[in-house]
Amino acid sequence: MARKVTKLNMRQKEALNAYVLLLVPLLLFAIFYYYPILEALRWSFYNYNFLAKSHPFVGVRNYARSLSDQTFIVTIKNAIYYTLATVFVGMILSLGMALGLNQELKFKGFYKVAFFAPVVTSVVATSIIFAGLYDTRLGLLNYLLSFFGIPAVGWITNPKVSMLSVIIYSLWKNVGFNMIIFLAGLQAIPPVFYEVGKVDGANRWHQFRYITLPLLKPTILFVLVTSFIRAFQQFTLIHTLTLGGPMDSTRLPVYHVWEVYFKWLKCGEASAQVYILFVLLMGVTLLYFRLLKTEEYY
Amino acid sequence: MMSALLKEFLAQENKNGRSKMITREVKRSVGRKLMLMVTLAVGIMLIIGTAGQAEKVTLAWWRWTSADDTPAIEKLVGQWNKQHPEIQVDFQEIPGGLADFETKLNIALAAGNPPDLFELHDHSWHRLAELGYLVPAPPDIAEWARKNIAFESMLPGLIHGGKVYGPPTSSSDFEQFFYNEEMFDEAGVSYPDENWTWNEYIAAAKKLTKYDAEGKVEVSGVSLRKTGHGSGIYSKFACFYYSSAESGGDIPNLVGEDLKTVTINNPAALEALQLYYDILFTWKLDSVDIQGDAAGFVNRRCAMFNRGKWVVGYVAKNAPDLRYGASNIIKNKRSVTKGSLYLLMVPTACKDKDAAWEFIRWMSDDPQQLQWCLETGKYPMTKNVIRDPRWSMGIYAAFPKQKNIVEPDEQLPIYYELSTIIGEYIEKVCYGKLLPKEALQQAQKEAQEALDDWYEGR
Repeated sequence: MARKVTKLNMRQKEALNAYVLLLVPLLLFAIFYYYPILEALRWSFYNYNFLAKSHPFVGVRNYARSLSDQTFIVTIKNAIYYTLATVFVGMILSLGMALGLNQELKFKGFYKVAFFAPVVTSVVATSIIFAGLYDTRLGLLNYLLSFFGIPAVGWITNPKVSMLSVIIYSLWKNVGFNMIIFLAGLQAIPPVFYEVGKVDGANRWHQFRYITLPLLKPTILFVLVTSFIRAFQQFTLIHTLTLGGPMDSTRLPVYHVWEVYFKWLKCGEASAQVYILFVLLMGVTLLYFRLLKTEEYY
Repeated sequence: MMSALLKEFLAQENKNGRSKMITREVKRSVGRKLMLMVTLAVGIMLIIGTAGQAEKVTLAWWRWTSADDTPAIEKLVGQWNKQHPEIQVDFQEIPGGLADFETKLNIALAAGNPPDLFELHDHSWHRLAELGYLVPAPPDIAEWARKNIAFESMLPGLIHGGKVYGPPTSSSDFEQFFYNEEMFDEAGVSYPDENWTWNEYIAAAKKLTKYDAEGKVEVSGVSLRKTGHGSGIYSKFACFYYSSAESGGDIPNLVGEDLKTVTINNPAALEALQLYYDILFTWKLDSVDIQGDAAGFVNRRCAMFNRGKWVVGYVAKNAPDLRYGASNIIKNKRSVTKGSLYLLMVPTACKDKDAAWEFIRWMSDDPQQLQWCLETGKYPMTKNVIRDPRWSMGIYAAFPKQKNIVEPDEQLPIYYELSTIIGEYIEKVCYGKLLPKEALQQAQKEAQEALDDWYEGR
């Protein structure tokens, strides 16, 4: 008896084509993204040194050690300080700048370029320049402070001040990016709401509080989450400006993990720390989504 | 019925077709022969070319960024390449300092595609030798290195598991004591000599230190290595540590003779670290806020410090008019300094080990080592070169007097990691975060954990 050949219909053919086209990128994702993630999880249960031939199984020791490692805990504290400062202060600054640029202004284009320019500069190049600005003896900042009789500050040599110096750089570098996103969000708010508000007697503060902010919530959430993740992933700046010092005062988690992995070859411990960070970040992100969940309807 | 004309036409066509066919056949035959000849010619050229190429080997030599050394090395490599067309060396400067270079090298070794040659510091090559990534030197080079190293007490730094892994290069160094003669003259203090002890050292530092109106140190009488890479902090501290060990006994080590027990928490280390603490906080002769090290020295921010002899080249470049002197490491119970050897080495994955060792023989030879030292200001590490009168004159006159140059941790595979851990605790003492005793206790505990991890599963 002849076999019945089922022909695919048009929809099935399209679906098949889509799967075939997706196959290559999925494969690349699997090899270069998901496989390393899963392999790192495996390594986190071993005493894994990538130069060594043998890698003994150690169970959850890497996790236990990381959670009791004073240096790793310091990096988490540093990250919280750094993130709170750069994210919240950065958001206030960038929102302020966006509100200013959302007005009728002369040379608006120039201001946009001027504020956005740091975003497109190289972190390595600009952090080297900032290292010169921060120099205790020859730096421009201390030179300017001397005119006011303020003694020289060890901007990147004093552990009490060094993280502030890193935060100042980060704000300078990133505030323009969030400004552009806020500006887009502001310009997406229909003007009719403001007109209605004016008719109802709302002043500028009321307009901002009851119209702008609620309608900007999705943008704020986006900026909050992306800024938070970006801040927690900070590496290049620390590597070029302070190397995590002095005295671990600017040591951030990703830099610390890099050092543990590539300098000390403790891949197992570094992998455990990465997963601890992943859980932390995931928790905070979910919290943000929960807090800013409600949508505004007008 | 075909017409006569048509028949004639067809006959003509047939004739043409046959001749065309004949022409095609002839052409095909000639074409085939031509193709065959061209193929043979190309094949012969390829074989000759490949055979010619197979005799020539290009070795990749990786080294870290060094404004002082790179021009001199590139010149030497250029000379070699001119003289040896069959073995070409491709010198590649890896961006970043020694730490970045070692990171990149480790990754390349693990991936199986390291360079064919590299220079490595003795605080990190022993680990690679232990793990089987390095090739021991051939017998003639090993013999040469044993006989020609300028300071025999540094010989253990070339050896792992009883085998020599390469000859010392002119990057090698040992800590020396430097002082600013102008500041000494200004303060009316006599220059240091071999008889100085820590008492004279501190007494001089107290006269040399200058303070601002608020009582903060403005110019340090003695500059300690207080911050930076942990292993760098430890290597300068080691001079004070070794010099505190009882005279006649063994130089203290990071670990016990079994290489499995960390022993840094001992009286000699405590005495040395207490000196650090007193200089910074009791007598206030130095400060973490003062520019120190070689940069501070050339900027006249410190009167005395310990550093490698590369300082000579650095001062010549940055402060050629600075009047300064050199002396032995100041003794406590004895004067001991810490050596640091750099070896030119060959990995097991090298594409042509014989060629690599051939190049290393040439680089280690006297004319090349002399040229390297003269162009970089580095101090020689081989007997013949050091006999040149140049190395006994001026600032160099003090160096041969330094006895007891030690490389005590030569067999320790993770010396770099352990010394970094200890250096980081020394830094905490310098910043007033820990007292010396608790710093050494915590350092020993953390270092022991790292050492236990290394031996786990081996």
